Amino acid sequence: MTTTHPRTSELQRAQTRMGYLFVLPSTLLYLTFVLAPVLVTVVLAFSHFDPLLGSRWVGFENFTRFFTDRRSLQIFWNTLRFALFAVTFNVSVGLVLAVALNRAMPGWLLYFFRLSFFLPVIIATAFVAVVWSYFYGDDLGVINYFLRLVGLPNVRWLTDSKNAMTSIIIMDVWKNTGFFMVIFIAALQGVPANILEAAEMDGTPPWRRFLRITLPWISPVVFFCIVYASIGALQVFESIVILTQGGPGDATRSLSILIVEEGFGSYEIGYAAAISVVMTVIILIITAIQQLASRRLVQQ
Amino acid sequence: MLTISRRNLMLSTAAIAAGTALGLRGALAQSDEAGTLQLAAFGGDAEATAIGHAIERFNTKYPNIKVELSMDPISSGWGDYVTKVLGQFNAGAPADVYGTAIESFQALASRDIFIPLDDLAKSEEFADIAPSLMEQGSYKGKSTYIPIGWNNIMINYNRDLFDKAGVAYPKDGKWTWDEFREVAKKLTIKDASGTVTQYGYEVPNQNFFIQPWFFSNGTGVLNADWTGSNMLDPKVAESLQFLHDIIHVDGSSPIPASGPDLGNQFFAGQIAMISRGHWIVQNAKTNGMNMDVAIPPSKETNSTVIGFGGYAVSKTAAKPEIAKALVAELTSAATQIEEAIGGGGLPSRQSASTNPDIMAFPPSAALYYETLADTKAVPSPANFQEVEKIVMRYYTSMMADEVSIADGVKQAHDELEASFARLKAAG
Amino acid sequence: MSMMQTNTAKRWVDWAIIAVMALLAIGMLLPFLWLIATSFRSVSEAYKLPPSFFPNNLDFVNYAKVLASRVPFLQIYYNSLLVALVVTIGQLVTCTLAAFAFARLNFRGRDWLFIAFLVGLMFPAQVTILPIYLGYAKLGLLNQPIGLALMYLTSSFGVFLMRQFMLSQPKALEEAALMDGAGYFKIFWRISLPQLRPALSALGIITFTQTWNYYFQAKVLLGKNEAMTLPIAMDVLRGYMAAGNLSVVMAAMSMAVLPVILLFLIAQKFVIEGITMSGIKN
Repeated sequence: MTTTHPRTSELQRAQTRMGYLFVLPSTLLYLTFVLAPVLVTVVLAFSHFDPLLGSRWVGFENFTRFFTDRRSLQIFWNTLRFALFAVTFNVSVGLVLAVALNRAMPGWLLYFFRLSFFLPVIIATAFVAVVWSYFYGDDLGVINYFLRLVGLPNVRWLTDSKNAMTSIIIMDVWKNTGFFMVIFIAALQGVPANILEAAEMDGTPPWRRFLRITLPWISPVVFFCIVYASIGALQVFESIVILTQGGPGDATRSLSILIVEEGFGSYEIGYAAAISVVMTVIILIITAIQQLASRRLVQQ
Repeated sequence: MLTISRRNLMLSTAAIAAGTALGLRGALAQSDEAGTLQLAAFGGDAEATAIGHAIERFNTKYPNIKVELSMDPISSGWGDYVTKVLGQFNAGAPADVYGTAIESFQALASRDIFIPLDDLAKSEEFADIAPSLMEQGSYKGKSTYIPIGWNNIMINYNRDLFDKAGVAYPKDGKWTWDEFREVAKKLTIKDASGTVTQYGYEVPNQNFFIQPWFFSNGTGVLNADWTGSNMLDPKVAESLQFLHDIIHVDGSSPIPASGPDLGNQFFAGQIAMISRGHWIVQNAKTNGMNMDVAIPPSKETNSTVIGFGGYAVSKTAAKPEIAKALVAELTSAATQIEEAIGGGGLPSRQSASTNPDIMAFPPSAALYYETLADTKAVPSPANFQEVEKIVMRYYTSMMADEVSIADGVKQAHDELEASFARLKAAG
Repeated sequence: MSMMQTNTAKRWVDWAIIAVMALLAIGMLLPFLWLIATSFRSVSEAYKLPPSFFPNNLDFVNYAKVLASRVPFLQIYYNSLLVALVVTIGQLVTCTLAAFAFARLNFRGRDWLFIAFLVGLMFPAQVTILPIYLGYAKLGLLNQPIGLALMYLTSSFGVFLMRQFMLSQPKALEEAALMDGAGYFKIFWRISLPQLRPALSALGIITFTQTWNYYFQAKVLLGKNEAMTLPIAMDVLRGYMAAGNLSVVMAAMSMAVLPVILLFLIAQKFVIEGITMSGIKN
């Protein structure tokens, strides 16, 4: 490929023209509805925003407040801990389910299984709260009832700070793993059947076929799921709020909950904006690390 | 203060009749004013239905005024609602009439967004509204909120479970802390393995519901004028210790989780007593429950907590007089009675308080009004939301035995003081 | 003989997988069953222990109550359908176009633009809604369901997802078409998209589900009763202090999940047909 070739430069111009054209609708919408509000929020982070009482610039005061609050560290740690486990289980369980359901079996069974695993994604979180707080009750809870039936002791799922985060992660995987399953099922369709069949003929065992052929083939999508799950998990809000509201104490409070409590609950818009900026920077760093790691692993 | 007697009852029935007559006269004189009014109200389906009928009545007088209603069920607390209302003013798109509750009164009024309604408050049409509520609806001496439904927290109890355990109902709905604790113990049932199958009481998990336990001990989490923390008062710790012991010593209540409450377990007969307001009465009826109410147990006082709603008119309202006419309809006896029966709070109009449908259930419904003289408002400073979050965060920790009560009150005190310092700096 | 043995072993593995999946599916379904069952019974029945996941009888009284409620449920249902359909179709168009450019075309600033899209994903949506609210108030887009749809016509998620799917597809066909003189739009439309049918179906169902359930944004932008979407309406049905009749709310929920379930089954049809066909081929 030489740049002097007239056909190549012609091609390059066409690519540029079409490239801009293709990204134009998304970019315009994105600038309006995401980037502009983000920039406004970044500016707000340096203010005390309350037009009716009088707004003012406060410099880095909001950031100082966050970094000197002794609660921040615990909340930051909660967020990381949640993200690590939620991402691992959501993505890996989703992948396992997708692989298990990507095989020949009676059609109605396929529909039934996939729908069963996707249904939790469909239910609005308000109802997830209703049913899971009943499931997670202490003496009156459903799960403890079944535990007692098989002779196990009660677990204080939500009222003990040692267990509360685990309980939230279990619920989160129940709620969200179907989401990743649907994406993986679609990705597995792209793996060419003839290559897999050829490997099968050669006597390659199933797990090796998976590791050597399937996984590399869908690796861009796996990478996507890990990055997307990480971003979502680091922003975790609903899964926690509906079960524990961040309690007991601060045991399960996440950065997003703090942002919403300050921004919407206490009308400290500037402070909430500052925490948002800090959170975004943290997510950016983690995503960058994942991107670097992926260079070696993802086939493109 | 509002008190009910048999003589009052007769008088107020007459007042309703008179009011209806007035309303009819108004309907005959239709106004030709035209335009739209934006009404932001709070509540669920019960309130939406009553408000819908109020708008229909309003439209018989103002047929060319279109009222556009938005309902907010306050599902994530009053702070979110305050933010929403302030956001509407900041964006230049406020409603004309706002319904809200005492928790947000100061936060909103301190931003100077409502007009005084003293002319309404002093008029004869509103003489009927409980004066104590009217007084608490004013900000800096000016009537700002016209009171609607109110709720005081009572002990709601399942009479069937009392009967089954052979425990007498509280006489005249009154009991002391110690009597209550014994009753809760007797109503708690454990199976052979020690697992509780029925709890005597649910130690509450919400700010509003726990207040009577402080008030009845002659104390509160904030000082009397809501300008600072009162957490270091030993009586606060005493109240907390009492609730803690009901859970951890007697085992007659589950540990309050900070998520959804256990109201439904009460209806399912798994919990014998809960602390709630009048809004659960409709649900008790739907579930065919043999429920009654009692006054929260007393230690030093019989005092319980009250919360109530009110309507205010935006200073941006183009036609304040018509907005006020809408407020009059929204706070009328007819609207309030419909809300109360549908599952809302109790009417602020003394005439409405004797409505037979409201007083028919629970059997001791009269207690709601008897205690009204002894109620204190839920502490609602302008930084209410922060105060609530701080108190509840430490409260759940202390109830779950994660932090000792001595340490918990101290740490909560420090955070509350910091919040009040920020409030002063901002104001 | 060895052939027969592997076949029996394979069938055994198939059955084992089906059995495990069935157990898991039941576990996943239990909370959902309880919710649906509660729409047919009273709360006092629903909370008994041992728990019951099926209603004793099919009493539709709570469904009638939803429709008789003051909340204009049918109008709200229509609003939700409108928003979800507009957003889903919009994203299928805008996201695949942008993804094709990011995955297949070389142009200046491409990688930076893509990173900018990713950063948008990282900022908490709860905070960015405030400036949008202020803008909408100026433009008169508040309380318009279409206003909610407008802000989701594209998404970083969709662009990123479709880009990764395109990256996992071989380029050979596209390059051959290019050599034959086909334009990029033709390649996108005739070659890339047909290959991506499973991915489009995944994006479609996910976008529809997410839009259907938007709560926070809808609550801020659509306050008026006639403009609400389903999650807000169900919030109102739950009532002040969530003290409404839970059974009625569950009836509303059951009606609300129906279109999503239907759409999911239709969307999976594309994907499942592929498998059963390759199954038959064997």
